[in-house]
Amino acid sequence: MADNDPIISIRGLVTQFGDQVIHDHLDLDIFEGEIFGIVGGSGAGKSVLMGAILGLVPAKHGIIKVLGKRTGNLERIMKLHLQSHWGVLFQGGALFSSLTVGENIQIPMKDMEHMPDDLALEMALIKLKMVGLEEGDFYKYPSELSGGMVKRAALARALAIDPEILFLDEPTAGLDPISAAAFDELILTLRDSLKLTVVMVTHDLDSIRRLCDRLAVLVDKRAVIGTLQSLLNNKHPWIREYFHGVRGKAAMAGLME
Amino acid sequence: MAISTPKIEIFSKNEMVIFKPQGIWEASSANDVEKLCKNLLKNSLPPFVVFDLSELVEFDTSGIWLLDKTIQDIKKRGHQVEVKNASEAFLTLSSRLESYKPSFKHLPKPQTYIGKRIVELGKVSVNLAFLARDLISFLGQVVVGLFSSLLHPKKLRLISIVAHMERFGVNAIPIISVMSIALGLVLAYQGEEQLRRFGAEIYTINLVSISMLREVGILITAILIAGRTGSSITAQLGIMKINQEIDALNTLGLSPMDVLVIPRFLALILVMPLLAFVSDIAGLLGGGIMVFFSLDVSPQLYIHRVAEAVTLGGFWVGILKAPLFGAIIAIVSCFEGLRVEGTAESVGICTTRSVVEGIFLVTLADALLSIFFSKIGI
Repeated sequence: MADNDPIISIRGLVTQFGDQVIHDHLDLDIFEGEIFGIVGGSGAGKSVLMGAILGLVPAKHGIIKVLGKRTGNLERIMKLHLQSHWGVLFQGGALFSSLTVGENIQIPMKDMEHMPDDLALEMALIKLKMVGLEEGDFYKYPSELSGGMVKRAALARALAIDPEILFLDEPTAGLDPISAAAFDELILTLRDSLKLTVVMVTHDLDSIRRLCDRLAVLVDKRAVIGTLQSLLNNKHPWIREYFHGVRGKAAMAGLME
Repeated sequence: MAISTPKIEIFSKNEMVIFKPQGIWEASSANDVEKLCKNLLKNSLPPFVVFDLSELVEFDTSGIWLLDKTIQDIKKRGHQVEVKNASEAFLTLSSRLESYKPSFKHLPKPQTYIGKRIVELGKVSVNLAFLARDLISFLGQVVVGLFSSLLHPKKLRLISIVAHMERFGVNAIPIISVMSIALGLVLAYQGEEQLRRFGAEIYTINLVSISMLREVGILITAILIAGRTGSSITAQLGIMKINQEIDALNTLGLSPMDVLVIPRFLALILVMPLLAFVSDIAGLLGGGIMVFFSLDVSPQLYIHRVAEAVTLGGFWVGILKAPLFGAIIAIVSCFEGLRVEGTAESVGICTTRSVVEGIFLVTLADALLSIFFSKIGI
C-alpha cells in the first residue's frame, strides 16, 4: 500500500432495505491520519454507511476497501482479521452489560489477540486512564456509570488493541457541553499520539469545527466531500441550511466570509 | 517491514550491552514481546545497558509499555540505562503512558477459597430472607391495589384484562389439551398394568378420573402456565423497567400496579379455572381412549363409570385450586419482573427465578391444600 492510497475507499456503493434505496452509487475515500466526519439529515444513511464499511449492513453493489483489502461481508472481514485493525464506538456505548468495565476492555485483548492475563490487566488500566476514567471504575458495571462515563468506557474498549481506524457513531450525543468538549480534545490527542484515523458520524457542529479535517455530507443518496471551508461555500440547499441555519451560523461564527 | 516477528538483537562490548529491538511490537504480538522482555531480565547484565531503538518502527501502546517496564526493571537493579535513537512518536507516546501508569490501588484483595464460600453463603441467606420479605410486601401491595380497583371499578382496565386473557388462556388451550391427553393416556396405561394383577382393571377409570380431576389436571396447567405465561410476564416487565417505561408510567401519574400488575393478576385468576377445566376434560378423554382400546370399554360405559367415580366435591377441589395457583404465578412473575435491574443478564436471572419460584410455590400450596381437603373430608 503506497502512502497516498486511501485507508478506506468506497466505489459505487448501493445499499437498500426492501425498495428503499439508502445509498445510490456513493463514492468515498478516507486517508490515513485524518479525522473524517460523516454528516447528514436523520435517515440520510450515516449509520448505514458506517455499518456497510464494518460489514454489519450488506451492500447491494459496489466495492468497499479497507486498508487496501476488499471487504463486503462479515465472513470476509473475519477472514482478513480486519477487526483487529479497527475499533468501534457505538452510539449507546454497547458495553456488555453483564461484564464489568474492566472485563469489557479486556475482551478484545484476550479473545482477539490472546494477550497474557497480567499484561491485559495492565493495558486495560492504562486505557481506562487514557480515556479519563479512574482505576476505581474498573470493577463497576455499565449500569452503574453515567452517560459520559459509558462513552469513555466504550472508547477504551474501542482503543483496547490500538486499532489503526477508530469509528465513532455520534460520540458527543447526549453529553453536556463540557464533557463533549473534553471528549473532542481526547479524540484529538489520541489521534496525534496513536496515529489514528478517525471516522465519525456526528451532528455536533462544534465537534465538526474542532475536529474534522474533511467531511462527507450525505445528500440525495450520495456523498458531497470536502473540507469544512469548501462545504461552507457549497450551493446545495440542504448543505446551505445545515451550515448557515441558526445553529450552523452560531457554531461556524468567524469561519464565514 | 522485512522482519515481522518481534525480536531483540544483542551486541556485547566489554562493559556494555546494546539491545536493538526489531519487528512488530504491537498488541497482536504482545505474547512474544512479553516473553522477549522476560528473557532479557533473566540474564545477568553488565553495568551499562543501551537500548538502540533505531530499528523499532512498528509499535503501539502495549509494545511501548512492555519495553518501558523492562527498562525500569533493569534500572532498579542498579544498571545504567541509556535509550538511543528513539523516534518522536515513541517518545510522545511513552511520556503519555507514564502518566497513565496503573497504581493497582483499587483492585480488591483476593480472598481465600473458604472465605469466599462463607461470604457467599451469608449473602445467599440474607438475600433469601429479603426475597421472602419483599415478596410478602408485594403481595400486600397487590391486595391493596386490588381493593382500590374494586372500589373504583373505572380504574379497572377491562380491555387490557380481556387481551391478557386471550394471550394467557385461549392461546394456551392447544398445548394444555395435548399435554393433558397424553397424561391421561399414561395414567390409564400405568394404572391398568398394576390393577390387572388384582383383576381390578376396571378401576383404572376411577384412578384416571379422580387423580386427573383432583390433582393432575390443575397441576399440569399451573406448571405449563408458570413456564409459558410467568416467564413472558417477567421478561416483558423486566425489559419495560430497563427501558424506563415503568418510570414513564410513574411520571404520568399512572401506577404500574394498576396498569400492569392488576390486569395480569385478574386475567390469570379468571383464566386458570377455565384452563383447568379444559385440562380435566382432555385428561379424561386421554384415559377414555386408552381404556377403549385396551379394556374394550365403550364410550357410554366410560362416561357412566366416570360419573360414578367422581363426586362433585372432587371436581370442585381441582377447579377451586386454579384461581389460587393463578394468583401465585401472577404475583411471583410480576414481582420478579419489577426486580430486574439494568442488565440483560438480570432479565435472564429474574425470568428463571420467576418460573422456578412459581412452580415451587404452586406445588407447596397444592401439598398443603391436599392435607387440608383430606382433613375436612372432601
